[in-house]
Amino acid sequence: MEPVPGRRWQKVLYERQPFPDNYVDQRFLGELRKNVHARRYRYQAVVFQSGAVVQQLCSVCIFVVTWWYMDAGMLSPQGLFGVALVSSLLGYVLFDAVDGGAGRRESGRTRWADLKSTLVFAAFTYGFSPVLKTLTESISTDTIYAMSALMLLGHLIFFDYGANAAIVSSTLSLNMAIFASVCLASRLPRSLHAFVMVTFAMQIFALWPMLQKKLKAQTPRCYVGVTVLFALAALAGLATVSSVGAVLFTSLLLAISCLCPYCLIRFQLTKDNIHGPWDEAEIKEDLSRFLM
Amino acid sequence: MDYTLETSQQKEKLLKTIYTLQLKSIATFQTASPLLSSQRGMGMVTQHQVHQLADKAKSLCEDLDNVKNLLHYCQDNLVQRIPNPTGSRYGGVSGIHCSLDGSIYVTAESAPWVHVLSSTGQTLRSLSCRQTGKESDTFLPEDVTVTRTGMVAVADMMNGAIWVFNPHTSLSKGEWIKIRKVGSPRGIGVDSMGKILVADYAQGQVHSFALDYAFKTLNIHSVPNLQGPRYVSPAPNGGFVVSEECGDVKVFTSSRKLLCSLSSKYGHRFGNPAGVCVDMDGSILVADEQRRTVHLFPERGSPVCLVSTRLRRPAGVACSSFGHLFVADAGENCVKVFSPAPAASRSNRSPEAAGVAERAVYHSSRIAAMVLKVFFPSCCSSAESGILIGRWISEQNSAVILAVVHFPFIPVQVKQYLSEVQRVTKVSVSVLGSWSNSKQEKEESLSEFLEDLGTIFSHEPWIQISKEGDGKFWSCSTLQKHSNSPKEEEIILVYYDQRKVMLSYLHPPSDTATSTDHKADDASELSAIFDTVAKSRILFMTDRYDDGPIKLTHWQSDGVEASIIVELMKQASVPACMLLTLLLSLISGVCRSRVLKFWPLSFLWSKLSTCEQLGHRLQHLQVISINKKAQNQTQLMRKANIFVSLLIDVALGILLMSWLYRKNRIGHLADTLIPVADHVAEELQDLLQWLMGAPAGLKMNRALDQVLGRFFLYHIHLWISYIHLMSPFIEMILWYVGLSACLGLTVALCILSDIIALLTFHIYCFYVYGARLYCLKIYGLSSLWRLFRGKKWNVLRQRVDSCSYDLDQLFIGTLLFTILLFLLPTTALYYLVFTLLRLLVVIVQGLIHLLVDLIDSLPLYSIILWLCRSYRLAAGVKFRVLEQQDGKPLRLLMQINPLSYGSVVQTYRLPTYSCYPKDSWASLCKKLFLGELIYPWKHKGDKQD
Repeated sequence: MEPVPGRRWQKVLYERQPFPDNYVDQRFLGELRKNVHARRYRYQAVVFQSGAVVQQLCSVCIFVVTWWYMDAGMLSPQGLFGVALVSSLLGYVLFDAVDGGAGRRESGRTRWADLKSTLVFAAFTYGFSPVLKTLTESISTDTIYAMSALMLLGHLIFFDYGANAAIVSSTLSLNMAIFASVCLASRLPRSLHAFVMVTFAMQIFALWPMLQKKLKAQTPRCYVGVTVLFALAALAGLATVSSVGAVLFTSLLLAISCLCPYCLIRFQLTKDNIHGPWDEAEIKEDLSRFLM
Repeated sequence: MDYTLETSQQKEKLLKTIYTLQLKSIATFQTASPLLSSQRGMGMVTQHQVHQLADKAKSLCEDLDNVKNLLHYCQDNLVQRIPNPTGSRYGGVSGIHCSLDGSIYVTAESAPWVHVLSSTGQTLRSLSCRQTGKESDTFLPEDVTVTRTGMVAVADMMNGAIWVFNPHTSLSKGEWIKIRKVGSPRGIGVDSMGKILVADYAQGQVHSFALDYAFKTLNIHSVPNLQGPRYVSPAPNGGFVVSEECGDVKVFTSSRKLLCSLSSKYGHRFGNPAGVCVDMDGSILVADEQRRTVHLFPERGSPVCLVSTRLRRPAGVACSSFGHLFVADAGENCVKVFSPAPAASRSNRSPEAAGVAERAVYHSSRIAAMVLKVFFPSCCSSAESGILIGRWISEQNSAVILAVVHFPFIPVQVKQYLSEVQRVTKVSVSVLGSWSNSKQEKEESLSEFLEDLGTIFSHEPWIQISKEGDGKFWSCSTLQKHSNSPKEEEIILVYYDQRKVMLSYLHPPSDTATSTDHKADDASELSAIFDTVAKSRILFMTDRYDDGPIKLTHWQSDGVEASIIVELMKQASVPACMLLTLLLSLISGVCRSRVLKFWPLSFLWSKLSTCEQLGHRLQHLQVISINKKAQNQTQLMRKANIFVSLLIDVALGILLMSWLYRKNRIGHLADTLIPVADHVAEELQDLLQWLMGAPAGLKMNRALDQVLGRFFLYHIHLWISYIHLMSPFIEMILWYVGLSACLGLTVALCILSDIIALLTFHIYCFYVYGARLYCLKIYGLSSLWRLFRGKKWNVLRQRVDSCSYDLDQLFIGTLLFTILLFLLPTTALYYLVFTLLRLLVVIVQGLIHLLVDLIDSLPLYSIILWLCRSYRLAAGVKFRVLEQQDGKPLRLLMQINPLSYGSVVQTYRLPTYSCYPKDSWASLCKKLFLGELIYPWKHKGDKQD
């Protein structure tokens, strides 16, 4: 069908027009746009953000190394408990000091609730520690190691690094870490060891990331320093256990914090997304008010 | 029929009017007809008068036509409802077609079937609308018709195709052939030339085409410019009629020219015309979907509303050549059969409504078609001459002869006697004919006398049977006084054993769904005969030594002496029953007393199977001791069955008791019981020791294993000490309990089952502990697994939702989850072992209960009858053809077919108190897996609810 010269084609469906259904006019390709949603990254910013991954890797590393020392009997549980207690108290003070108590006021959580949680936690762990010690007696050590490794890997995968993705589940991540720590703690020689180990796991997997997040938001410079110090501590600890492991771990950390951001920015150049009127419709308006 | 005075006056008036019209017109015609031949003028008749007369005559003719039509047809005469053979799975019936042989073809909305029904509504054949070779390729027929060559053709609107079913393929089943693509066919028909007519709904056309032998379409023509044609039907003039959706019905000629539309011709307004068809007189019938009517449009006269009510959504209509009108009612999903012209089809209908004069005509016409059956008792074959008395079953044209009355008799006395018999037995016994048994050659005078008897006892027809000498072949004839057709009808003589037929009880086929109507008719025919003989039992009570005014020959029982004992027992049974009832009411009163209803006791009663069995037997005794007479055969048999089963049960119980109490067997039993219980306990201890080690190399939690093992060992220790405490008393207890065997074998078996339950109580306890522990773990694990994933069970919405937990909740939940997960194998093993032990005990108890059930439910009296007097329970009859001679009636011997063993048991099975396991196998497995308790106890209370 030939377009009638007198009438202009309109992109509407509610009017009968003398054009075939698949007709478009010359404006069609004029609306073509490329890489609309692409974001430009700065190298330094990306390196800064990768700090979260480095931190979590180092946490796992420090936990495993600590367990190693405990298992080998080179670290007394009392000593570890003392160090952990002191660092926890320090962290607790720091947590409120960093933002001047603004976060606490917002969440409305009292210190009594904190104390209660701590007590419940300590009581349960202490009460169950004899059970934990004998829990996996009849199961072979290799099975326990494999299970713990899988669980820690799952912890790293599902951890909330700040990205907005479906796979992220901080609950599952934390539960997997606790499971792994309970498994590993059940291999330790005495129930006190198991108690201290589980406590330490809670501090490093549950409390430490909270403090990190706050530090990152409030004082970025300080956060970089803490990250570097933490990574160095982890490396030092690993080096005392296995030098090959330390070398490999160093290269992994470097790759994550330097190589991966570089690759991301490099490959950004080859991005080629096209957008235009053929895209499916997007609802931009916030519809939640209609749901009420 | 309404015979009021007013109606009769109306009738008279109508007839008089028509008759006067006829006379006047004939007279006028005779005067007027010479006008044409002679040259005379028209007298004083003016042109105006002729015109006026012509106009009036025209309207008069119309009125007469209307009156004729209205006299001829009958409104809303529903004869039958045939349910949709497809069932209610698909939509309602839509298309219908009636072929010349009277079979009906039916399609339903969105159902891939074409059903062929007989004129009475039985499904003769079901054609699945599925393309051969492609299993999944079904189509949905909209309307159906039958071609000249007898093949089924359907219109398929979904695929826009016409299909023809070719039954003559190499495949035995036949196949569907797609003959033509049409836009959207709805109605289909075949015109008088054999061409297929298709109404194309969307294009507004009616296509007509012929079909050759290779299923090629020829001579395609189309009629355009129709507004949504739906149904199409051939018209009497060689053309066709088509109905338009929410429009008109149009009639076309054979050359496809529009002849007229019905609304303009008859001045009729349609709502939504649906099915159209043409009856044998050439009138067009139209179903109106909106107004829910069916109208008939005669060639002359105004339309007649044949069906005005009882339709919900009429779709297709069809007329059979027998004058029936079939309306497919999609709203009620059935085919309704109407008889709009009953006057024409009266000869096929039931005669009850017709008058006496018609009745004679009906009989004579019917008898020519039907043979007369005479059921003759074989015990009367040597009776002396006399008259036959019995019952005439006019629907079946058969005579059941019950007895022979000998000469000499006084007719009045016979009539009196018969009326008395009739009053007592409620069977219409009458004199049916005469019987002559002449040892010598035939006497002329006697036969005349016998014929004369027919005038005294008027019966229609009068049956005359005569036996000559010792001849096997009797001559048989009937006399029709009122009939004007001298046709010789055929007679079949059926001999029956009066005693057996009287005593037997006919079991009509129960599965009426599968048996056809014809079979059911046969069964009712037979049951009428059985009924007649059984009801006239009173007639047979008089024995041959009775000196009454009338001498009869029929079956007589010989065992008069034995019956004295029976009479005595009957007399004695009444007080015995009363005594029993009194006793029973006392016992049941005690049982129902409130003292026994308190919680621990009532709980105990419900758990002991002995109590259940005793209650069941108590009910049985109550049923037996009811003083009233059993109302029907089923109740009688039930009573007898209960009585015999009770007797045999008690007899077996006493036998068992006598065996037990001889040679101190009770003592031996008691001596062996304690060691057996000890042995079981020891075995269990060994099993627990094994479980406390590392059984089968399983990864058990040592600490929990030890705890559980010690717990159970302590239980067994307790148990053994109790048993030993009991051991001195066991013999005494057994001795007293054994006495209860005199109440019946079933009671003894129930006691055995209870003893087993008591002796294995420790196993039950272990099972309960294991199951509870396991159940707790399973539920805990499943709930904590949700927490582990950050989800929770939403009780309100019955689904799993995501949830954000606190840190301490997460920690404790995961800690418990880990602990429960590692402890699960230990608990599961204990649970498994004890469940297996429990199941073993349950199976043993179940077998005992099965035996009890068998004894309780087996209808022993019926089985004894089936073994010894198989004719008492008849499933039907069979006829054996006896020797035959030309010119003499066919002789058959009726023998009774006994009921098969399976159906005896099925019919007379006694109900039992126990219901079979509530759970199906799948739910049982699920319960076992989840650790829910399974009870073998019978749930009587549940069943009663």
